Amino acid sequence: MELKNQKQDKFFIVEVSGRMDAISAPEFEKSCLEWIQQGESTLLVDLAGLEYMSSAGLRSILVVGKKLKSVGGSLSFSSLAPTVAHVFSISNFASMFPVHESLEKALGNS
Amino acid sequence: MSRLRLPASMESFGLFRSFVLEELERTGELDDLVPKVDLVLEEVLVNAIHYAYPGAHGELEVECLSESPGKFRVTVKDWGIAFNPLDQAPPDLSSDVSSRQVGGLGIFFVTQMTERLHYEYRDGGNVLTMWFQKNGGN
Repeated sequence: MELKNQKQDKFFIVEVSGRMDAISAPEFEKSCLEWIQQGESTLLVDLAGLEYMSSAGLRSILVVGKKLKSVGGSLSFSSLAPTVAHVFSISNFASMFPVHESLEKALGNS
Repeated sequence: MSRLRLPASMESFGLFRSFVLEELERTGELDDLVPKVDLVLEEVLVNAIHYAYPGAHGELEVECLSESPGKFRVTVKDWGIAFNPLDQAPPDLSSDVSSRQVGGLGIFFVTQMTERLHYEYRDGGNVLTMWFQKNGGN
């Protein structure tokens, strides 16, 4: 898994690529919690380069989502590959968080 | 049938994964099962690694086999505490971030992404057998 981040307007964009599994998910969680700690509250996670996500990835996402909710922030996602979208769908994460077709649409949508 | 037995630790996880995916890829026509098998295997192995042997060392054994055209079978065994994954309560699927419980999705994915599951406690161990069917469900 690789994480890149950039700031665009109010959005703190996190680009995740590779695999988010039981080995790598804790790193995603730790990094996001640090960014929130530093004051970022509008996280947009772009998953264009993510090929795989297991329940460990969803667990970390939920932890980050709960933290953001508690500080009045928001968490949204963009560019899910079909396998990742399937996991989001059956776990109902697709109803819990805004999911956008592309990063461009996510940035334009709010 | 191929079989691999290793210590129940996260260090073994990648080896089990390569072993099963290589076996699946060798069957050629089952390529499209890779995403499901990959996910289900992680959920089952990580669960066993974390919970089968609390405070102790143990082993896991994985067997896999292309059973018939389009059908792939994976069996995971451990000799730890008895745990029937088919007996677990369904996960919290509510869409409210604040109240939703963390966890419980792994087993749910296993039930959703396999064609059939069979669990038994046999010869002092947990034996979970999973069948994957090409072009079947989900």
